[in-house]
Amino acid sequence: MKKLVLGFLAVVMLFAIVPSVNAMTEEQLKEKMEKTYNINGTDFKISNDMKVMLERYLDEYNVTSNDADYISNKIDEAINILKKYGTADVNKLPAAAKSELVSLVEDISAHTSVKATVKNGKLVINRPDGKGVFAEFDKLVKQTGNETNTIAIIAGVSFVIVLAGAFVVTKKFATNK
Amino acid sequence: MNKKIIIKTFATNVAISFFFAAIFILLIYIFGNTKINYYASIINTVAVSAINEKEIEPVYKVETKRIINYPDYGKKYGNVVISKINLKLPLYHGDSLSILRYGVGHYAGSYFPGEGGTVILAAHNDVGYFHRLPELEKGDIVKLETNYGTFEYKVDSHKIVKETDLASFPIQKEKEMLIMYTCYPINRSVVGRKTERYVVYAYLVGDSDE
Repeated sequence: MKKLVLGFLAVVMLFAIVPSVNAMTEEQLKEKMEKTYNINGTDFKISNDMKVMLERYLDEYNVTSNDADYISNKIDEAINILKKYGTADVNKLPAAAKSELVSLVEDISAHTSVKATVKNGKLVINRPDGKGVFAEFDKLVKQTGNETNTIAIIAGVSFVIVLAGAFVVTKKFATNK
Repeated sequence: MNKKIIIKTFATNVAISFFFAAIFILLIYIFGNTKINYYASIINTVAVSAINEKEIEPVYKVETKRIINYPDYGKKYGNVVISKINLKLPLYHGDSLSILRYGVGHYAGSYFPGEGGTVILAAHNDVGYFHRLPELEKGDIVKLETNYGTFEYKVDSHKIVKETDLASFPIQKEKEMLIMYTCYPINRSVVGRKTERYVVYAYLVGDSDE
């Protein structure tokens, strides 16, 4: 009986002390994220700008082995979604596929320390403590034209004045008649 | 019958008034466009200074070109200074539309100044922002005064590209490159979305090919 109990305790301690053989390190996770995948004959890998953002996050915060494993599984699921819909171009995916990818991001947020969401089509990564946004990933080239379009404002205001003036004149005409 | 006359009169008055309004708009545009642009930009400047600009203190390791405590997205972390065009604007991490109202936006998918890679900055083409970017010539200096150090870049070249030409915005880490862009044409009177960008390339002083 005593030998049985000791044996059982040894096994429990073994599992407690020795890390899981398959646990993923942060470095391995980084490599997995930057790997090139073949989706129905087309090569797919994350863009350089997303890579910069993800590397920055991993530099700033440590990701545990458990979290790395979880995220790694979600990456596999994401690749399977792309294969299922037959395209490596995220922009060509149907709404259902995009919805599935968003769910994966939400799963990661719910089950790991990486708090990411998709908001208005942008990937938002919050700080793990919830105090502040670490980064938002959006398209590279933005629209930086003038916000106040002079002609639009003048035209809009003029149109309102014109209508008001026409209304007053018509009302006067109707009254005089 | 009376109703018909009223509607007809109303329509005629609107048509005539619209014609005169069009002439009115044309006259304002010809004689008053510059003044309106100037006052609109002053309104923007007032809005910028009213914002609470909380700065944080990242730590920069020169030996490894690494930054610890990156600024939050949306936070100001420095200034962009270009003496040649008399420009000093706050520099923010991120380049969403709301950030671009307040100054220069730093694209989150590019490296930070000092990290040895491509730094991409964007700003509006309004007066007081990147309106005078086309005046920059080869050799002009652009300074990024950040919370963790000042970095000087020397302008190397410029070009006008389509907004979809991502190859003109290379994200790399072989050499520290500064890319600044704004919508083109810069003329405010062009209505609607602009599909071209005026892009300036500069290299960290001491790192250029010269």
